[in-house]
Amino acid sequence: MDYRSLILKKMTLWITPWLTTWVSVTMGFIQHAQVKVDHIRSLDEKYSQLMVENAALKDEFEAFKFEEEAKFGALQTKVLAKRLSQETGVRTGRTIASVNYKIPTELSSPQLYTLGLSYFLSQEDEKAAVVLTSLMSLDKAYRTAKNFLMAGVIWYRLDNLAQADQSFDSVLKPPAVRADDQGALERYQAEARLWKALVAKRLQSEDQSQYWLKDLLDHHPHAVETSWINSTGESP
Amino acid sequence: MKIRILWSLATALVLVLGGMDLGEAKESKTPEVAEKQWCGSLEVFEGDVQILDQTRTHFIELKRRAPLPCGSWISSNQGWARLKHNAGPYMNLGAGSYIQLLSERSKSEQVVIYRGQIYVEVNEGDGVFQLGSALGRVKIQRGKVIYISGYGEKASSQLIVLEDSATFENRFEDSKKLRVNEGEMSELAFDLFRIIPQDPLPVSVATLKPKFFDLRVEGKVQSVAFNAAHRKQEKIVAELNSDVHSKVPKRSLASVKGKSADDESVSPAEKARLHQHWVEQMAPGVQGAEGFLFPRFNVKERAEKKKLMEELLRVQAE
Repeated sequence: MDYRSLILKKMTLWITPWLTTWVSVTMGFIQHAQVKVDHIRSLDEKYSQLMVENAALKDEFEAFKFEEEAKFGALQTKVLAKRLSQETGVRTGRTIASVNYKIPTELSSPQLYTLGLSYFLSQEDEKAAVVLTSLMSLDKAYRTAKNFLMAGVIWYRLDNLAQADQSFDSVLKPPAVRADDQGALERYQAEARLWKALVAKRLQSEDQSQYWLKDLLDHHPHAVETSWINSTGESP
Repeated sequence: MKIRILWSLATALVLVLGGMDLGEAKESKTPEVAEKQWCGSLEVFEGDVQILDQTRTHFIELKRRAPLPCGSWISSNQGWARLKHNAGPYMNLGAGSYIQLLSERSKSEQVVIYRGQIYVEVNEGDGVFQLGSALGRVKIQRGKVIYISGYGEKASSQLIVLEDSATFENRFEDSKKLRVNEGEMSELAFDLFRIIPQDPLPVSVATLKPKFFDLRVEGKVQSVAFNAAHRKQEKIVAELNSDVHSKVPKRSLASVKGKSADDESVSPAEKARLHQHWVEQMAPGVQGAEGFLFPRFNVKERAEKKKLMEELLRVQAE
């Protein structure tokens, strides 16, 4: 054995346990690192999963709230429609309490009246109803046949047939209302009778509708409105 | 020997490292989207915006022009997003809002608003675009609107029209549809003992400003909306109020240079002139102002009456 072989053998003997230890330590370290990486990856996946689940839960919560609100809305619509139907005659009828409009303050009665008329003409009926109702309840001078007729038409447009009918009834009570002259009063009353027939028709009360049409023919045989019923325009 | 040892070490290292998964980018990818139906795209966004797909199991990647599948759930907690629906309209989603995109072929709404506020632009040719919330439904043929659902503590829906017009209705009572024009707003709430939306009211500029800021409404649309709101505010009420606050105390609307039509010393000709002046003052620029102020019932009711009469006559004849 030469000197070189001896050294190599000794070195191999010396290095082998060292190398074995180094390899086992390195392997252990790598395995540990792998475990850590796996752990981090699983945490990351879990985090993403939780984020999605969290968002999905929020979605579900919002959807649940939405469903509840929708159910409440459907129920409220049904209950209110029934109540309004009883009070006004129509499911979608509106009352003075259901109009979110306040009349302008500091306006004189004639100005309010003009405002009401303007709203009536531009078919802003809710505002017209508030203005005219307030004016007629505050100032007796405005409780005329013409104004009651106009109020009736407004309530008819707002689907409050009960209130409309009441207003048309007021037109037909001459001592309670003022009119410029008898001719005008008769004209308003003829219109009111026709409107009452329309109200009855919408309430599906055919008998009542016929009654008011006959009443119109009896009381106002020569009125324009009568000519619409009796096309010849002659009294029956 | 030495070489063998080195080779064995190298092989071991390669095997260990090769077997080791560094866990790079094995994130959950968005599901296969090829067969999905797209309903829109995300145009721009800012802040905290989240988009979940229709199955609510995957996030949609937030990037410009990211396609959004039908049924996507979009929430903007502390952020803002601009979306484009496939049907054509653009939508700006405000902070704290939550919506779901639905197909343009959907029979009811194309967008469901669960909470919050949304600004929608529908242009000519986009077709009728429908928005729905828990209580209300809005249909837009052409126009720019802001729709708010469930604001405040009470459940309600509010529609503000900035340009053109839109119809508004109760989802559960569609017999009455309300048309809301530009510069107007309407609200649907049950606390007013009614089941249809309120008649439109002029929208106040103060109400609009914070909404424009939150929804990033562009300046041009803002100025059009402000002008429309001003026009609505300046209607009859303002005119009347300005007369009430005029410097001349208790000045009659029908007076000219201190004279009143009620004054008995005024001649009939002067009265007629005062009356004319009053009419012009009350209804400026209105053709046939006399008829406007002193109306006979309009043609619509007459036509309605006539129709009824015809029906009655037919019934009687039968």
